Amino acid sequence: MQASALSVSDLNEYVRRSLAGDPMLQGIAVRGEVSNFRPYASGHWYFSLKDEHSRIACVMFRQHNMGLRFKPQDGMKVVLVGSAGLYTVSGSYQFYAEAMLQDGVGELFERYNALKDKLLKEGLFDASRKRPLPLLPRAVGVITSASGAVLHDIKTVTRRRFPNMPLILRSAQVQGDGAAADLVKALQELAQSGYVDVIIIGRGGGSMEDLWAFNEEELVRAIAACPIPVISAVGHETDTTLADFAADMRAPTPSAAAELAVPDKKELAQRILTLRNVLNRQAMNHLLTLSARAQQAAGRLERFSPAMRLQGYAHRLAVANQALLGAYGAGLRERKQRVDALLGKLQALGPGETLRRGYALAMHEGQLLTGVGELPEQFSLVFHDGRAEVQVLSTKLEEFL
Amino acid sequence: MTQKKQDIGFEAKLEALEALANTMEEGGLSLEALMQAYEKGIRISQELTKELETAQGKLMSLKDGALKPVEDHDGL
Repeated sequence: MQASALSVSDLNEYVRRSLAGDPMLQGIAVRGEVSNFRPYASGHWYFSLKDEHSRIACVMFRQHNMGLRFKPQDGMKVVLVGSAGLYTVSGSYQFYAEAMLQDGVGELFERYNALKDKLLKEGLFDASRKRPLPLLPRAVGVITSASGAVLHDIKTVTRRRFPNMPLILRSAQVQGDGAAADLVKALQELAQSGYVDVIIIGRGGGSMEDLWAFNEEELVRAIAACPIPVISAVGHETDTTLADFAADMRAPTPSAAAELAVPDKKELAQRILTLRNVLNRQAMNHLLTLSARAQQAAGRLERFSPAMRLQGYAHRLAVANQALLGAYGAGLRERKQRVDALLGKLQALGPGETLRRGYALAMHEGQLLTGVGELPEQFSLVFHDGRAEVQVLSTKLEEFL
Repeated sequence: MTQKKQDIGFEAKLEALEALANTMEEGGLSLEALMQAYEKGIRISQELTKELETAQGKLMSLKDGALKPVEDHDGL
């Protein structure tokens, strides 16, 4: 009997091996609540994981916990990944954690849905609240982390669509504690600066926790209240945050946000040019029609006043013609010739044409004589081909024909 | 640097130009009205073209309410 007695060490070692050899106990995930959390100076963490009925001692060594972005606290619900085994020195059974996840994701979803319902009922996401984006902003505000790929993508698209469009970056913390508050401040600062006409707010993809700042009530409200239109570009296309609902426009990616914010310069220039072509064509057509009518009318008139008015128009036509040529140039040579021809016709409507048809002007000392009562003893008669000095023999007033 | 607020926005001007073009296309304008519409339209189109070039595309950063140029590694 005595010979077969095991040492404590042998027993513990046997149990340790048994547990270590059981695949059911390796690489498993276990859910529970952290209690009695004790971080040691060595960097190792010791704590218990418990549920309503049981508890298990846990250790998480320094090399496994140093990459963790949160520090566990008593009461925190977590999922541990690792293996169960025996610590032979004390004969205690414990869990060796290699990874720890906050088991709050389900809770986050609940908070997300509750806040979404609340803000939806308030009308914060109503389509009627959405403002149109400006066609040509003076500058585009960008709120994101200074180092991320978001800024790079926005710059690339902007350079392609409108190379001289200014971008104004307000770099901000986009995840972790204080991120929402910093993003709110960034929105306010950009809006108050008066430099930008549209704002892109965004960050790259990540877990729901990473993107959480964009679901915080203060940021969602600040986006809705921002006096400048806001485009959101948060995470990947499949991630939808409450910030996206509140924004005036939601872009699936930062590049798409830049496409929305920054107009295509070539397209705008073409639109302006097309309109200018319409103006030129219409002006020319109208002028040709009107000048034909004016010529007909002028032919029936014997006095000079219409010619004077037409000369006024001819002058303005010449000025407009200058502007038109300044506006473009080469394509309008032919039209300019038509305008020149038109000007020639307008000038032909002066007195010369009338004189040629058999009328003469009675002139004295450079003044036009318009009645028998004004005639001096001698005056000139001006014909289209010369003048004659004449002497008055007698005058008699009478109704003309 | 970026401009301060424009008197009338680019978009409003572009719409005004479109309206002038439409009016001229509809016809029936007196010579006087035609010339006015034409001169105004040419002036607006010149302003619009100019506005496309006004901005100087720089990346600036807003820090404590002040604009600072950003060191740019990709040359924008």
